[in-house]
Amino acid sequence: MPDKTRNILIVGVGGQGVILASNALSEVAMARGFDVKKNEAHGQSQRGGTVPSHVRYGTSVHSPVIARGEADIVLAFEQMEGLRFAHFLRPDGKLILNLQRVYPPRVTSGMDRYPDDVPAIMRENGIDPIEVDALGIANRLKNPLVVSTVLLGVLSNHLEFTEAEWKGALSKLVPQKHRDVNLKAFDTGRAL
Amino acid sequence: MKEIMLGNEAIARGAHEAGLQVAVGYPGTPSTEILQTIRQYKDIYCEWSVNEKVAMDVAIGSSLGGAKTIVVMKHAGLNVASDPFYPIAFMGVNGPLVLICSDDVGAVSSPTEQDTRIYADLFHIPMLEPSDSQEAKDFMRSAFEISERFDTPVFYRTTNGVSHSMGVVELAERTDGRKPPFDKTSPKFRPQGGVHPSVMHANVHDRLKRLAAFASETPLNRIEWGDRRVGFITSGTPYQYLKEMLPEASFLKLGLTYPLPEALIREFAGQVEELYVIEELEPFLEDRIKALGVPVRGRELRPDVGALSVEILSERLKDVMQTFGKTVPERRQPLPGVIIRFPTLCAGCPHLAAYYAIRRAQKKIKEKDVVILGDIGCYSLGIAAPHNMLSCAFAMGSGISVAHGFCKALQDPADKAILAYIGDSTFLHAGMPALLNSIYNESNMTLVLTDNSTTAMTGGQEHAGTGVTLKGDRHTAARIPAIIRALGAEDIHEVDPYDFKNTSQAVKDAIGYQGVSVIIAKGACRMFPQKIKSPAYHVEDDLCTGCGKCLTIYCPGLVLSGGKTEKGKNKVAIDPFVCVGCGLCAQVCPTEAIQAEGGRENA
Repeated sequence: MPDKTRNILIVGVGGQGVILASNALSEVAMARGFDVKKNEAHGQSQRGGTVPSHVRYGTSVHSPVIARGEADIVLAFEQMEGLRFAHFLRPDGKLILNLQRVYPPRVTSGMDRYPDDVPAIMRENGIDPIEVDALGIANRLKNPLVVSTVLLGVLSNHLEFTEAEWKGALSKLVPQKHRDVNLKAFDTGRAL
Repeated sequence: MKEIMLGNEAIARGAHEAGLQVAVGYPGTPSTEILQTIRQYKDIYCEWSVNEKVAMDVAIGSSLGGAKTIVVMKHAGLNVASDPFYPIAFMGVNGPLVLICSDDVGAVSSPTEQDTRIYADLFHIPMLEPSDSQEAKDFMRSAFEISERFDTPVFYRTTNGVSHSMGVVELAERTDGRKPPFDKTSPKFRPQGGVHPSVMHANVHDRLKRLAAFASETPLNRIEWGDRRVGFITSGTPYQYLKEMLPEASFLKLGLTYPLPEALIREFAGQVEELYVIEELEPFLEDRIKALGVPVRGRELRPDVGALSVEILSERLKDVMQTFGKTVPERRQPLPGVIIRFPTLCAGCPHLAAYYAIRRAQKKIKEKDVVILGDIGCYSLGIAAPHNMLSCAFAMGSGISVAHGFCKALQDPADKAILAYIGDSTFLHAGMPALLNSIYNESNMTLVLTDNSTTAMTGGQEHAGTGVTLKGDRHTAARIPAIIRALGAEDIHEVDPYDFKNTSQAVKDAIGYQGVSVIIAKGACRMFPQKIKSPAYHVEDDLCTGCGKCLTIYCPGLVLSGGKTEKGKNKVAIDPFVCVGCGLCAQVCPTEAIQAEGGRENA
C-alpha cells in the first residue's frame, strides 16, 4: 500500500483484555496526531469466541480492517489465536506470541487436539514468533489480569511511541485502583 | 476536541449534538451501543421499548409531540417495525424523525443476512449511509435537517463495518430547538377521514422528486475527481476500501443513497472511461443506476453475500489495479493445526442447566420423539454442536407459534413431544401473543421459558421483566408467571434450572400433559447485569472414574485433566478461572468427585 499506514492486529479470546490493549494503542496513536481506525467483531466475543482487533494508524487511514498479508505486527494473547491469524503478517512482519493456552470446547470435549508446539508450526511456516510468558509474569506480579499490559509493554518496543506516551494512555484507560500494577506490568513487558 | 469513537458512539454523539430529545429502540447487534451511549446524555429521554414495532409507535408519538426523535434497531428489527413505519412515511412528520437501522452484514450475530436499503425504496423515504465514525456523527445533523425540510422520516442505515469500527471524530457543541406538538385538528395524520391515502401517495412521489433534485446538490454526495480512466460510484465502507486500494481513481461518493442523485450520476458517468458501482450485498445502487440508462459494471466483480474488504476487492479488481500499475500483495495461506473456536454458552449459564434437564427428560420418554423449536437469544447457540438442542430458529418469538403450527400439521402427534424454547426478553418482545394464540387454539406443546432476567445475547440490556429502564430507573417489573397465567395456561411449572432432577421431572410431566404446558426456569445470567461468581468447584482426582457424565453439560469450565483412569478413560478437571461455582456438575457426578471449595470435609 502506498502510504505508511501501520497495521497492528491484536488477537485473543474474549475476556483476555484484547480490547483494552487495542484501545490503548489507538489512544497513543491519536495523541501523536495520527488518523486511527480500529475494528473488532462485537456481539459474541463475551461467549468465549475469537477476538481479533484491527488497529491501523497513519497520516490518513481509510479501511478499518487489515488485509491478509499486510499486518506489520500480530500480537497474539493466546497460542491458537496466534496460529489462526499468523497469515495476516506481511512477509517481514513480527508475531508476538503469548504462550498462554485457552482450550476451545472442541478440545476440552475431546473432539479436537490442541497442537503441542504452536511456535514450531509457526517456524515451519516461516514465521519466527517472539515468545512471551505474559501470564507467568502477571502471576509473579500477583495479578493475572495484567496480562494485557505486559503484552502492551512488549509491543511498545516495536512501535515509535515513547514510554511517557504509553503511560499517559494507560493512565487514561485503567481505573485508578489498578493503575500502579498495570504500569508495573507495562514496564516488565517493555524490559523483556 | 477529538475522540476515538465507535461508529455507534459517533451516531449517538451526533444525535446529541443535533439536539436529539427522544431516543427509543430494542437491542440488536450491531445497533445496541447507540442507545447505550445515548443514556449518558441527561437532556435526552431514552428507553428500551419492548419490541421494535412498539418502539416505532413510541417514536411516531414523540414526533407528534414535537421532539427530535430517533428509533434504533438492527435489520431484523426493521421487519418488525415496518408496519407502523409505512403510514408515517406516507404522512410525513411533526418533530424530525430518524429511523436508524444497523445491518449485520456477514451475519456475525443474526440468523439472516439482510440488506435493508430496499426499505428506502419501499417506504419512499430518503436514506443516509455514513462510511466512518466522523460521517456517522455528522450525518445525524443532516438527517434531522432533511426530515424537517422535506417533511419526511429519514432512514439512516449503517452496517457493522461502520457501527463496529472506530475512528477519530471531531466533536461539536449541542444545539437545541423543539417544535410544538402537532395540531390535533389537522387532517395530516388522519387517513381516509382527513387526507385520502391516494392523495398522501401522490404527495410522497412529489416529495421524492424534490429529494432527488436535492440529492444532486447536497454535499452528502460528492465527486472526488482523480484519474478519469476509472470511476467508482460507491458508499459506506466499500468507499473506504476502494480509497485505500485506488486513491488515484475518480469517485462519486454517495452519502444520500436514496433517492439517487440522477444529475450527479450522469455528470460523473459522462466523464469517466470505465464506470464501476461497488456496494455490499444486493445490487441496490447498481440496479437503479442501470434503470437510468447508465451502463455500469459491478455485480459481476464482487461477491453477492457477506462483507467486502480490501482483500476481496483487490483480488476481484486486479485488472483495475493494473491500470494504475498496482499489484495485489501476496497473501499468505492459513497455517495448519487451527481449531475453530465457536462462541459458546458461558460457564454456569442457566441455559446449560435447562438444556441438560431437557436431555435428561428426553432419555426417560423414549416413546416420544422430542422436537424443540428454538428462538432468538443466547440459547440460539444451542442449535450448534455439541448441544444440538434446537431444530430451528426464525425470528423473535417465532418458536412458540412454529411449535403450534407444527403440532397442528402432524397426522400422528402421539409419537412426538413438541417443545418451544425461549428466553425472558424474547418472550416479552413477541412471545406473549404467540403463547396466547397457542392456548386459544388448543395446542399440545410445552414451552420452556428460561428466565435469566436480562437481554444477555446483546450484552445484558434491561427489559420490562427486570423493571430497570435504559436510564437506570427502577419501575414495575413485569411478572412473567402472572402473564402466562393470565394468557390462560393451566399447567405451569416454576423451577430452578440448577435443580436438574426437579427440572427434568417437570419437563417430563409437562410433556405428558394434554394441552399447553409452560415451564418457567428462573436462573440469573452469570454475566449480566453483573458477573455472578461463587467459589470454583474442583475435581478430587482419585474419585473421578472418567465416566464423562459432567462433560455432557457442555460447560466450558469442565476440561479434560490430561490424566487417565486405570481403564484408560479421560479424567476431568475444573478450570478455576472459568468455573463460576453453580454446582450443577457436582449434582450430576455419580461418584461425588466434584466438590465445592474446601473439599470433602465441608461436603
